[in-house]
Amino acid sequence: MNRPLSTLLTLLLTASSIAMAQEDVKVGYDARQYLGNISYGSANPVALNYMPLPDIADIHVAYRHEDGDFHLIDQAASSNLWLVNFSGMKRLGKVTFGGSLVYRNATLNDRAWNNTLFVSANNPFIICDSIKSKFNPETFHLDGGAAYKVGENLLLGLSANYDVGSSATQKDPRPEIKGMRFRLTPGVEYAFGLHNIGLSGEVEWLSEEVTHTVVRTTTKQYVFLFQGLGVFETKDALGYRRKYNGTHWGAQVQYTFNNSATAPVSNFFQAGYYSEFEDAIDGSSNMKYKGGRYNGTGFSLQDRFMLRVSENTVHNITLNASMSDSKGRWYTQRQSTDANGNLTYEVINESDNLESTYMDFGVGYRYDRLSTSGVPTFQVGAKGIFSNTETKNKIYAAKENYSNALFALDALKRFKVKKGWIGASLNAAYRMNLESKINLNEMPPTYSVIMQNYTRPAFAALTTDFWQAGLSLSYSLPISVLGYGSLLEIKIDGDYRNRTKAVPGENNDRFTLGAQVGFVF
Amino acid sequence: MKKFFYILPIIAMILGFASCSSNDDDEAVRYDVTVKVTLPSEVTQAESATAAQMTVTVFNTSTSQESKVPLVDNTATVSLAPGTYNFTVSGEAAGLNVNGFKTGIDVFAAKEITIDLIASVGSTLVFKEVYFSGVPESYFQDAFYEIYNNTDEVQYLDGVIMGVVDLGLAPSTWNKDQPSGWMADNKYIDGRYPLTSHIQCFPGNGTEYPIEPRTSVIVAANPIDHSARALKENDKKSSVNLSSADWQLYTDNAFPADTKIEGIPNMTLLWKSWGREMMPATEGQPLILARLKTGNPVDYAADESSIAPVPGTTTNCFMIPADCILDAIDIVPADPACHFKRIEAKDDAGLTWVTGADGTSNGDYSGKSLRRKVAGKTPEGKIILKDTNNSSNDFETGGSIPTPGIIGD
Repeated sequence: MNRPLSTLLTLLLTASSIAMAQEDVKVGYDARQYLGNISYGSANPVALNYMPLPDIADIHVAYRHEDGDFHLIDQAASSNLWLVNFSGMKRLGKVTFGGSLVYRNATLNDRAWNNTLFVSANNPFIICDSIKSKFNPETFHLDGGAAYKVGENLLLGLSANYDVGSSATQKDPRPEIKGMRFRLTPGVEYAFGLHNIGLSGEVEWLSEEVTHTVVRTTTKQYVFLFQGLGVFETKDALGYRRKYNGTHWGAQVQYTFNNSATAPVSNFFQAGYYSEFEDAIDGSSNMKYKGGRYNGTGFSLQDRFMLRVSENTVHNITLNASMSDSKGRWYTQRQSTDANGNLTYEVINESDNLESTYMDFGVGYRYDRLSTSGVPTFQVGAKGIFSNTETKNKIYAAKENYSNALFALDALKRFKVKKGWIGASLNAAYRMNLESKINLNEMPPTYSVIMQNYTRPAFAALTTDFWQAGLSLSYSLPISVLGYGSLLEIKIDGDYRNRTKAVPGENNDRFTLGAQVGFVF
Repeated sequence: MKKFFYILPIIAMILGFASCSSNDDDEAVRYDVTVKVTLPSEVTQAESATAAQMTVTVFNTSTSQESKVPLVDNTATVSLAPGTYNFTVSGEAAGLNVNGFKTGIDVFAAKEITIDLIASVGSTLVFKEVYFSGVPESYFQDAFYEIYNNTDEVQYLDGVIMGVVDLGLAPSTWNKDQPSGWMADNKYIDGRYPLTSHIQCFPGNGTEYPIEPRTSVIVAANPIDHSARALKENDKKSSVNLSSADWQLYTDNAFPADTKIEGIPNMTLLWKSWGREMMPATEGQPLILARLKTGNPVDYAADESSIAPVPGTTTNCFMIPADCILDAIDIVPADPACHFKRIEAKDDAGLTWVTGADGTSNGDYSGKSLRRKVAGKTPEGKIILKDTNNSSNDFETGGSIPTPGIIGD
């Protein structure tokens, strides 16, 4: 980790040395990158080549506080997060570099039901306990990429993402979690005329280990080994250890029409496919118990159409769709003892008893107006997202199915006050449940403790209607730091969310407050 | 036309998603299992054989789900979710109790199993109630064992041995979710039960300690009022008052908690391996009552051949011939992963356990006892306890508040 870190810091310091005479160009730089690069957000790292501001660095520190009863069941009742972010880009001849380093240190209060860190959100094989306790996750995210222009028509790219972290609590059964995800993404693109065809691939590895410690051994503590939709096993938490190992691979094709930063009409289309698995394995080197295997596959489509009606007025229409399937493989195992007296588990049956499908479809519109100097001064957007999730347990014919629609509006106005810029934005959203069915009628009563305390409350949070509104204020001031031109940015924001159907005995809302300060070089 | 080339991917995307549909096949997976029984010779050769009345109990070892199905013409068919099951057959045939079981049967396809049944008659002396789970924090000195004369004749306690059956575990583990190393096909390999902890017996020459018909005696680990114990932080009150116990288990092991109460007779210590007195595990361990066919227990215990090491270990156990068992309860932890037989079918064809407050977790320190059910009353109104040689049927599995000395409801 030390080598990529030092490389990135060198890169950022190099980037920061490029003083720019007119610092207004960095105000709202993220919007400028978006509007000047139709392939912004592409999975293909060659998209770095098209960033309109290829020499920029952003260093900021942020704090966020969340509180309120309306949250997902495995989310903390309240949390505090400190974040330090270094990110930047630099173009050197035919090569454009980009990367970021993000450090997160959080306090998650009264959190239960999930003792994992980087395991896939679709993975049903979660190890957890029901004791609400304070988690302290500390994570690093590091990514770096480069796009290399081989010739007039050919671009090559490569990026790497690395997440590493740990989390622990000081309350029995005291899970200690250490995890890592590492992803490599190579890409290529060929241009002919106004058309560009790209191809990218990705391969990612997951490694995570959870160890439980019980200090007060006079009280027995248990961990739950979830198998999906309310099915679980309990194990004595004392010393219980689980490892997750997984691999993800995927591929995407991209088609871009007219990727010029000033093109009046341009379009970006991407289709992707992924396949992944994660194995949950419990025990030690000489005793392994299979907790389950999650397999997931999915494909996604996205399209962005941009119409630049004048130099300062831009319309964007986006369409996104994704569909994925996951399967949870259960292992029936028989315990025995080998010649050395070690416990062994023999798999006597395995079957994909849990099946899930996830579908999302979204459409969005965004209008941007820029000042004559190119500062994004006004932005308004609207989007609608339809999502459907269905999970089935084939053994007990249990099923949950729900569809939600989310409508969101946002607007931002940025105006100049003396040398600085003040930005104010508003957002509002409403999530409406269209369908929710849960059938656990044939589930054995032995699972009722989890069905009542986890499965049904989790389902309720996922299907409830809610509205939310947010406000943010920012101030950007061009200044000189150590003789270099930079932009001081200060931002505060707040969000409020309220479910429309009250839950007895709980508050029905949740709020988030954030503050951020940093420099853009 | 060329101008709108970029629109084509959008149309393809919408059409692609419109064609997606979900599978609505919501049938639960089930397999038919046919259970057949082979009746014991005592039943097939009985002249006045009546139609057998038997039930098969099917227990899913993962979900603890239990179902009972009557056998018709010695056969029953059950439709089961995939999993591992224990099958127990019990009932009456030709005036005899018949029992049999098969454990750890994997059901991942339709199949047929055959269970050989064993005939038995009820025991003279039976455990009416046993209490070993204790209460927080780690207080198990309130254990007791109540023995009942389930006949209409006077029985004698003299020479009756009471003990805890060894689990036969591998040397490197104390996990209870594995079978006994002493057994093969649910039978003790050398024909003897292994006992562990402290093995104790009633003294006497054969007729010194009578127990009247349909009455009980209470053997207390410590014959005091445990409900009056001073509580510290995290302690919970015991409901048990054993100050009127009939017998005590005092072993003079110099443990401060082992209380000797003058005036209450003490059982004789035959042999010991570990612990402060007879100590079944607080989450449950099989218990036996036995009477040697010949000789007296003290002489038997002095013979080195009555000792044998746990397979694969150097830890010794006290061995009791399997044919001298008076009563046995195959007590296991509530965790289905630990549901392995350690009592032979001829002595107990079932399993029973104590649960924690949630009704599913292990019952250690739950403060609950295992109590035998009542089968009926004699013409004189005395209680007949249920004794079909199957603790699954005979005991109130899950446990309840201890009731030492109270017979019946």
